[in-house]
Amino acid sequence: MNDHSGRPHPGTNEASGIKSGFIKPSYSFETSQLPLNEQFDGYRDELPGHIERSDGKGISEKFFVDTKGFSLGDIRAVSSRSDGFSFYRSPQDVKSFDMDDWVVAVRTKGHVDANVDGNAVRFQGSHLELRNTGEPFSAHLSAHESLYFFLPRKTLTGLEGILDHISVSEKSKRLHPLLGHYLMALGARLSYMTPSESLIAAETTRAMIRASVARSPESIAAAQTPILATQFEVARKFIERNLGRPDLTVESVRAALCVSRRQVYKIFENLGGVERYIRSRRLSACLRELQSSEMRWTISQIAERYGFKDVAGFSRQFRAQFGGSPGELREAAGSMPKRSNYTEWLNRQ
Amino acid sequence: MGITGRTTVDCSSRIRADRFTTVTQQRRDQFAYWKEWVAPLVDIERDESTEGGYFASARGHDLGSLHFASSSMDPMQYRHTEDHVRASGIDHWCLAILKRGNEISRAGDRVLTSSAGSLQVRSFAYPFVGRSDGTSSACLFLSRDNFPDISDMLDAVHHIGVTGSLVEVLKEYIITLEDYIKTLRVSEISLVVESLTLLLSAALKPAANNIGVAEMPIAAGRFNLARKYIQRYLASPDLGANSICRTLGISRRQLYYLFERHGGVEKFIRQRRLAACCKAIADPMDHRLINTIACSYGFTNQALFSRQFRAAYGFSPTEARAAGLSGHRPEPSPPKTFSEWLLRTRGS
Repeated sequence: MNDHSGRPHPGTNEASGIKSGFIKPSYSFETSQLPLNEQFDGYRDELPGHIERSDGKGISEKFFVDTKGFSLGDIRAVSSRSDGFSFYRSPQDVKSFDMDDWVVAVRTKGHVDANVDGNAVRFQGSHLELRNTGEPFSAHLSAHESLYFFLPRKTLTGLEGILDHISVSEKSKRLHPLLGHYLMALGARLSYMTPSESLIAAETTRAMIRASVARSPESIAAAQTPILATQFEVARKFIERNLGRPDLTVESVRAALCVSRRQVYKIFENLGGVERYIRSRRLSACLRELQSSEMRWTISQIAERYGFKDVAGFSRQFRAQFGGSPGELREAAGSMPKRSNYTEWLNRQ
Repeated sequence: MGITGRTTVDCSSRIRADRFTTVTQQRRDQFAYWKEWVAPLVDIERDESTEGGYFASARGHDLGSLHFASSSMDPMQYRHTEDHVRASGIDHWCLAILKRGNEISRAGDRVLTSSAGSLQVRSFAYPFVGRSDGTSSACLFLSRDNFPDISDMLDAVHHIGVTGSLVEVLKEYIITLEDYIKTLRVSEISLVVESLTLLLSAALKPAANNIGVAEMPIAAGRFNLARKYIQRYLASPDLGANSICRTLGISRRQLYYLFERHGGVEKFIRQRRLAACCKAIADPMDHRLINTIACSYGFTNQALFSRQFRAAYGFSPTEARAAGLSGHRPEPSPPKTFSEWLLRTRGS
């Protein structure tokens, strides 16, 4: 791992942007600053997933990447150019990084062949690629120039059901191409934006995405079952807020939603049931605590805080979800599920 | 005839391009022909030294609440006078991107110099004068009633050179749209109008905040006040001639004159209420029943509402919901004059 690789450059933080008039990148990664034989490895450490070269060259040969990230309010806008590579984010990566954003991408150069249900779907130009970063993902990227906009899940409330539906298929290509053109125009202006413009840009981008998604064919079809999606979102938030409470149960979720028990089961039907969903979220919370730098709590204390009274049972369930024991993953926290600068930056509030 | 076009009504159909050009005329008639075409909007003159033909060409698309036009023309001088403001019924905003040429114009003490790449914002509710050399531009004409949320902002930046990164994004979007509009379908109009409104608001907000709205005198004063009042209290059951007269301190007779051109104030209110219903019904995120929406704007008789809605838009409320239409029915025939095109009326 290269300590100096993707760290934001000194003086290019958000605060200094105000002085010069324009916002500065709050994240930056360029392989040109690294020795040739470390360029590919440097990028490998940076991306939340696994990458391989797809140009047939060795990993110690020159590999070009130039990525700049800008903060537009709570949207992270990333402009990235690189040589071609293959990318894979496994279910386990997803769990350990615990990302839960929408990402909308367009390509100004090159293309991406994403694996969608076993089929390669090509995204290029203003074809919109919409994904949830919390989903496993694999793709082949040509040498490309891309724009990514990461939106926290909470910023598109009310549309989650439709977005979930669109994001796991090639349907996002059917979002209106004018939205893609807007994002490209915005991407070209990221370096010339004043701080106040960047906030307006964030608000406008959310509204533009909202308008396009709401008018997609999928959305109009899904309008018949909007209630389920809305209720799921309310339930999800309630669960997330109350993970540490021992009385978080089917009953308390039911009471919070003011619906029947039967309806609660229906809402979580596709996620393997409400109990399982709560347990999985609690295990994720435990993993976060285990891997946080302060080692103040013992494993059993953490387990107990999230309602796991039986430590043996906790370890078993933990291993089933993350593929390692709590102790192993705590020890590995320094290296294995390392959060790269990139991931840290994306998750910064 | 300088106008060509075809008739369309179907939702999946393309939007008709209305074309106008002087090249179909005899050279000596070309300037007079163009002058007459733009007469409802501006008086134009050309340099005395110039003789012979005059080239002007425009392609327009009627998107309902806004109109899109691409045009090229030879040098000219123009005046939009108090008489135009009073008599034409055109009080639209015009946003133009100059793609070629130079232009200078003045409104009150605001002077606007434009060259290729500039964005101009003008309100036809105020007089202005100007001159241009050979220019090409892409223009958006926005009708005042359909943009109540950004009307103050648009008035504030009238004849001000607006700049900024979001203005650049807006310009690029309009230029993309100019290309895209040739294949645009009626069902896509609502998205185009909504996205343009969002971008306009984003691009003009910084400039408008610096200027403040109060600086420009409202030329069409009372009418505008009445209109704003109506828009604001659209959902109120008390909205009517009486409440407007009381609030504005005018007599019934004066109110009658203000809305004479719109067929009376009651008709105007009904049209704005139908437009609000149409927008809500076509909004895919609004899950209220059609009856509930109609009722919230005072339409308690369902059958009557449907009839009036269809008369105004050419489709039923149910069709509007199914197709996500928002208040656009392409005019069946091409316009004969600029006013007809912009005001969406057709001479009988």
